Amino acid sequence: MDSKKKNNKAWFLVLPVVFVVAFTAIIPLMAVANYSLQDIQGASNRLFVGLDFFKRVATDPNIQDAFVRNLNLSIQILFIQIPLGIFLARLMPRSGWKASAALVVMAIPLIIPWNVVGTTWRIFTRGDIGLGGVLVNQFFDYNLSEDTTDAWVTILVMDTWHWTPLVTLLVYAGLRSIPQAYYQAAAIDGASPMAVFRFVELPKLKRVLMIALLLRFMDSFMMYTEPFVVTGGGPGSSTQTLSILLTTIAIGQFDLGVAGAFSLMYFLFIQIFSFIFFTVLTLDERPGATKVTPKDKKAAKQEKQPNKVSSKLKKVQK
Amino acid sequence: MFDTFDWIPWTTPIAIVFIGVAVMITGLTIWGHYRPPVRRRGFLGIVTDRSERVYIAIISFALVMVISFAIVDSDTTIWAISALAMVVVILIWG
Repeated sequence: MDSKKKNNKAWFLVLPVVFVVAFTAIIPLMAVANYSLQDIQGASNRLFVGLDFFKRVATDPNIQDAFVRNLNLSIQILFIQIPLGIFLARLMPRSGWKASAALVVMAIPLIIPWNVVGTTWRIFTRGDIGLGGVLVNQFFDYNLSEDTTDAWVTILVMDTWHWTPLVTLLVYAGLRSIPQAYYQAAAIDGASPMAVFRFVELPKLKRVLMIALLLRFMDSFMMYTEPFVVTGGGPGSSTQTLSILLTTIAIGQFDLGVAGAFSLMYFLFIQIFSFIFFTVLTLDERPGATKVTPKDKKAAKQEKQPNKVSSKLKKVQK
Repeated sequence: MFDTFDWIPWTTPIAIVFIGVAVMITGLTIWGHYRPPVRRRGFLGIVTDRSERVYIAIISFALVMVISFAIVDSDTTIWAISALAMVVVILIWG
């Protein structure tokens, strides 16, 4: 156990950020939390309803469906983009003009505004004038405004095109930071490329991958602009993400109480998922993470027992 | 200072919650200064210190309450009391 006293005064340096976050996040959150308990009809006409809105949100089938759908989308996105990002990063040249060129090409999708990405893909996937839509229609019937699978796959492909470069660039930076000595040692041992990836690169990429995983999960779980522009959440509600549904409730129906309760529950689930990811990925690195096995416990007990006996002996001797 | 919060339609429970959170964070900071937290592994299986257990307890409490809201005709009071008991268990043995 780590019982050493630590100086935590450096945390005071975080205070400016705390103030900024207070004004951009915590104070608006206070407003949302207050909305969630009241039915507000007008500036001076409001009714306290307790936890009713929370119960309504938790039992609403539309919201439950959107939650499962969004979770499903996020999981699929992670399963596609993380391996693809690692794969592309390993293919990228490490030095010379080719490296710079590859970095620029990779970064292009990241600097395009989200609604522009949506509009581009909306046109690209049109069956009559879109390059992608016309091309795919040569092989099989494709129409994202009528077929739910087409719409879902389009959202997946578009998000992969837009955000895989982020994973790639993060992993690329991680790969560049691995000292050459590790590769040399692996080469001396005659390690296969797969073994080099598994035992040299992957452990070194752990922290970078954690950031990529967290960013991609949170972004995809809060995805709004691109599916809103491309499919509008349709056909039906097949691509309606939680954010699109929340905006419909808050701004479309102006149901602020329900939207407030929805937001808080949404916030809670993002907290839970992020905490789980973070904890699982930093399990070995947590300070004081000494593994106590049953064997250690037994040994500790056995150490204690002779002490008892010796103290009794001492008493008897006295 | 109070004008900053005037635009928020305040309710007593939410005011209590936010003041409670502020007091808790301040309290934990002061407590941590005089009695530095000891990291240990409890029944949760991960190494945690005092404030991490508080965070886990609060998040778990909120999750249990959301689950109770999702069950039609559930008694919120009973669920809240059970969730509070769980919070105490996590804080002590977690």
